[in-house]
Amino acid sequence: MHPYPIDRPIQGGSEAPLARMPREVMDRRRFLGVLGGGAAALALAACGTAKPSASGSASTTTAPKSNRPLVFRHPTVSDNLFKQYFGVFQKQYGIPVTLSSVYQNYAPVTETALVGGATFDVMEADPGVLGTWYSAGLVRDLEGMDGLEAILANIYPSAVADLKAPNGKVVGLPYFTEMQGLFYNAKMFQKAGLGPPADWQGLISAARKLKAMGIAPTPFAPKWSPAFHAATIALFTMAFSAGLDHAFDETGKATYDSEPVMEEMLSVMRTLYKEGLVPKDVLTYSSSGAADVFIAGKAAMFQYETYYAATFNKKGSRINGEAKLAPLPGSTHASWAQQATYLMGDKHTDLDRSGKLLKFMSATDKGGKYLVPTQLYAIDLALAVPYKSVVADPAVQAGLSKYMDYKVLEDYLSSAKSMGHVLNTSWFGHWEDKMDVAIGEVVTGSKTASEALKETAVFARAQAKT
Amino acid sequence: MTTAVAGRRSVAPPHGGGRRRLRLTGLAFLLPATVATIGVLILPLLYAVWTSLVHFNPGAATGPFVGVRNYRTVLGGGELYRSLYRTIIFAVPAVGLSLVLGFVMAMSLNARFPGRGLVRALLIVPWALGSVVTGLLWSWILNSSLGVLNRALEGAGLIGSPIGWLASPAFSPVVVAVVFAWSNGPLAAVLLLSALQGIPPELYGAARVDGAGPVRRLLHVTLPLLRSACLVVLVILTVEAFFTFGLVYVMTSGGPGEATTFLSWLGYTEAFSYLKFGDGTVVFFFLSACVVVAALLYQGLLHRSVGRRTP
Repeated sequence: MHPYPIDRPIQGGSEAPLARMPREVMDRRRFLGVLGGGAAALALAACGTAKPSASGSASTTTAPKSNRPLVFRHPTVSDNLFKQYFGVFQKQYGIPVTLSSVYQNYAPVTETALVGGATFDVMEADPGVLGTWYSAGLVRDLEGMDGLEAILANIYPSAVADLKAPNGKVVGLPYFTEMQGLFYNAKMFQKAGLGPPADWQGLISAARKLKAMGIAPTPFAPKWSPAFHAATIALFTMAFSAGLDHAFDETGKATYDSEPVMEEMLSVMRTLYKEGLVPKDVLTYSSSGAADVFIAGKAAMFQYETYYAATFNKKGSRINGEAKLAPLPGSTHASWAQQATYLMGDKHTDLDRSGKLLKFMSATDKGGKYLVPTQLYAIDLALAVPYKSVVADPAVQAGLSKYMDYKVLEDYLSSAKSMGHVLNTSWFGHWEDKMDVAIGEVVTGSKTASEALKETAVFARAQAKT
Repeated sequence: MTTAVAGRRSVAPPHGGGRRRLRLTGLAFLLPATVATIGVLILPLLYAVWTSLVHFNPGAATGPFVGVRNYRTVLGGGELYRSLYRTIIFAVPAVGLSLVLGFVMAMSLNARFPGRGLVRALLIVPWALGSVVTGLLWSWILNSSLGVLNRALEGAGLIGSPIGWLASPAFSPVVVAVVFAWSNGPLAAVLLLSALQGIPPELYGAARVDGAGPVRRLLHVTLPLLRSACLVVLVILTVEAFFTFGLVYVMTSGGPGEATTFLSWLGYTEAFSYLKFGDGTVVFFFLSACVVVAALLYQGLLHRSVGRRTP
């Protein structure tokens, strides 16, 4: 993904080594012979080699469609576990699958590969990416897929909106639900004589006390950096939990700037930063920055993705058993849920084979069971899955209860809010970028909350019009 | 090759068909380089120009022709110039620090001392690490909660509470510039060191005879003779600084606020976050033009200074 060269050629060198080389004279005939031989070798190689995909992954273009393995593009997460399920898929459908995984920066790397012409049969997509890729013609909609209605009926309504393109067509099926939750360190809270905060002012008071008692130098570790739009997600998570009903109306028009709760939450962020209750570099954290601080025992509260429960409370973790998932502070406790999805590449017209893989990996197997969402995502990877039947499954409850209070997670899923169809518009990411910047400016005191809200809302309204 | 062929056959140049064959052989030798240049330089450049003139659709890898609309949009907006300003605010200290650091390192390594060969070899390490590794390394060192720098300063009693090195919008570009200098200073040092070694020792001897002390020898012998090398170093460092991306990507993601949204980051987000490849290409053309202007400026300044000194 880096347009900037990471490994640069070593500079220097002089003519001296060349001068020492024996001067071998090559006449024209010999030169042309070598040239001709090279050209012939290249031509032969080209005939015998499949056209490489832009990503350098397994070829997806030359073998006959009916025989070639399907390519499943995914961020690197327990690759061997995924491969086991490809084995099950092959047993059920007789179709082999190749995994093409990306270790870091999955979305831009995959996007670049797609733009460069690579084709993936089924690919994971981070929240918000679906609409951009769809409108760019990189992925296709799922109209006509067998059993689609039944699958959608089993998904929480707020999650269904995230699966659709702005034109209303279903483009993706769920991988898991991303949402920010509030974790607290039970041992530290007990030491301070505190319980989980009921509202955001209560969180500030708790942070002040934890700091004053010397229990945690920076008591609250949220992630407010622009990376993955964490700042925007943090603010709207706070606002939804404190009573914001919607940020955009049904036509996609931004309405959040007239909601008092938005200014209130920006003021909470500013107070936390000004009083040193959050780490000073909270605005530039990498993806795991806040978690590192929480795990190291420098913070007693953490606000980021709920899937961190499995990282905190596993064997070997410094805070194993101490990190508890609490309901978000505020009147509604609602989080902002976004769906990581699976999409189908647009370069392929083989809807039947690719559709089977998509359905298998994100919903039901050949027998109609939610095998992969239940076993792989919820139990093995401890992810929140938006299928009602999976959430109600006792095996899933038992699996996830190892890491967190399952009832709390269930409440998160059932009460979560969605941004609606604007999430998948092509301009939403741009708006999030603006919002990330504005939040940073409010937090550092260079802009007022009302200015920030108005500016970003004006931008969003202009984008929605065009 | 001509010499070799001529030497083997006869001294007389070939005539008629022989000359034509010789010319064809020469052209055949040029062919691979020409094909490579066209393939990796000219065609991508033309494609980039085309991309900047169309409403690019990534799915089709092209789009409807829109003329100079992308140029009007990008050059007519304030975001480009704000990013240019931030780029300059970053690049000036980044290049300056790298040059000074490189010069000091080159001077030190030009002196004789035991283990000089090893130190020279180690010198290259920060540069060889690459920007992403460097960015990750320094993100950890500068981390306000867990970083070793704050801990060391607190331990030494120099600060009362941790400093958020990358937290301040005013300070973060300077911090990134310091990390840039740490990474690129060795490159400057290697180039300057090779130039230093090319200065004839007789000149220093003559200066000593004339009564010049170390400072005067530095000012009147070393620095004037390093001018050409400095120009090369300045151009390379300026290109590196203007195109800095990896450090921003890893350390700040363009933040806090927009403090480290330099031109390269702006071009990247336009092209790859918003898939506005036309706008992104225009930003990168603008960035390239800025670098060319900076290179011409250096050349002009250094030539003028040579002109003034030449009797």
